[in-house]
Amino acid sequence: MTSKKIKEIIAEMFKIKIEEVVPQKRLVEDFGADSLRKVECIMKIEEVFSIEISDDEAKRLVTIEDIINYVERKIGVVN
Amino acid sequence: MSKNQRELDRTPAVLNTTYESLDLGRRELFRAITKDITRKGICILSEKALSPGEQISLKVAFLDPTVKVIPLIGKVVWKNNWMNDGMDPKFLMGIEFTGLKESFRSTLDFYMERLTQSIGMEDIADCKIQERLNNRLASAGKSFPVQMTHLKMPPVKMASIAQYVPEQVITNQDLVNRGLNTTEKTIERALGAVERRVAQSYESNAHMMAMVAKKILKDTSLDVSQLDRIICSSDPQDTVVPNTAVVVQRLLDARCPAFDVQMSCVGWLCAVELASRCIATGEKRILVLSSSTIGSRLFFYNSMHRAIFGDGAGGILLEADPNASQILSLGLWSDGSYNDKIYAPYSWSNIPDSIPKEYKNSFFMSPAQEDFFATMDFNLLPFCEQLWNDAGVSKSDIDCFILHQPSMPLFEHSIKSLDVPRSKTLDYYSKYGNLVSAEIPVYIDEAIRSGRIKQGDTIFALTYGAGFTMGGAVIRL
Repeated sequence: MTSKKIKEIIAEMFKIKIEEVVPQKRLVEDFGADSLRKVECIMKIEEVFSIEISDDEAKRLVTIEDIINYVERKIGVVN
Repeated sequence: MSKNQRELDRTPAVLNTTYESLDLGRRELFRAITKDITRKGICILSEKALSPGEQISLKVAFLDPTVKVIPLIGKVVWKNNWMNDGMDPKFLMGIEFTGLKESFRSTLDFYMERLTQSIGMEDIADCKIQERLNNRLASAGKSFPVQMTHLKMPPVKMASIAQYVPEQVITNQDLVNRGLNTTEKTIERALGAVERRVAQSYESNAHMMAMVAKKILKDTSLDVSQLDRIICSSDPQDTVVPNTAVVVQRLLDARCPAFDVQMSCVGWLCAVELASRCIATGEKRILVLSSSTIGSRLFFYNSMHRAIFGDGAGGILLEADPNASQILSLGLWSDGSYNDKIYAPYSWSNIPDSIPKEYKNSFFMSPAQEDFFATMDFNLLPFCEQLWNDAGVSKSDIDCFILHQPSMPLFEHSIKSLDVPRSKTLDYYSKYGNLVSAEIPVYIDEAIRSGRIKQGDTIFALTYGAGFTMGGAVIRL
């Protein structure tokens, strides 16, 4: 559920199909995110999941998998 | 473990490293670049050859701005000559870790995992990535130690300093209202900028620099005829011809020669360097001025880039004074291989293929921030250490660090790269944005006026920009 929602947010933000948002893809290198788009993406995730992501933490979120793992840890999803 | 498995366990990584021999009589700091790294050891490229068995203390800097350097103790296991294509000889050395503080063990583990993931084991086996990494390593090997200017500074003083910033303020909300497709808070979070000044049509670079010069002349009660030279740095030039400095000359009714220098964000320091050379050869008083109107005059296809820049001008009167040595060291550096990473053409410029077509006639900044961060990691610390050494000061002697503020992420990165206390840095970015080459004189003036710095303080100014270019100076107020 978390994973699907994150993929939807990213697909909408970068105007791509949700099937293209696979775990190994990177926001900057694969989706062409500049600093603004990356921050927008982080802020949207913060809003949707009611969490706060510090700038230092945000820098470590490189791939879609990084983001999903981070959000799941933050909101306490147990696999 | 098979030889192939051992090869796979090595993670190719071009990282910045410094090391010091712990053996008696060789306590000298050397710089190196890593070739690959495992949890048990590291392969480094250096200009200095150590002997197998020698104990060394290492500091490994990862390319992640959030991680401090990792200190390690190691032993040289083997040494080989590195390919020598006309460069100075360099040596590859295998170092086995013999001491790692427990507190850094998890950091090393985390980054080993990150490096492995980002490259991928399949990629390591793929000769193409090895080739790319070898090319990067060779390129890095060519650029260190950092090749920079060295000037034995003449006795000079900054007789006066002044700034001029336009009155009109443009906020993040103003930019959103004008069509920047995001929110005020997103701009602030992405860049750190809150507002910036914007020049009106009459506030050309020449106008703003002349205003700075008039304040300086008034402050020093100097007659304009006592000036030997006016050197200006402005981005962009107000006109192709004439040069901007002659318009300043006319606005001041000066008669001394006036000309421009350009080195993007480093322009003002470049002008100070040149002025110092002129004073060393007999001149007495030189106005060194700088101004930027990039924010208000250029076209920005990506309007987010517009949010980076603020307009403003600053400058000093540099004066010969046998009893003063206010500029203790000054250095300039450039690497033109990055010339297309930050780019703004004239209408007739031959635009490189690497610039995306939609940016034709626009300001362009490469979204691949890795280039900026990696270049800083390779060069920033050695460059600064050289300047501190030239000035005869240590980092702890410095009272105030004026580190360039192109955007807050890069500013934060330089604080971490240099490991300087935040309390000793100046931060006017939220107020002024990126002032390009006018930044240093504006910041010094602002800090003096607010009492943040005072006479006798030692200041370190560092700036870098398009090109890439870099400049720094140690100044004693």
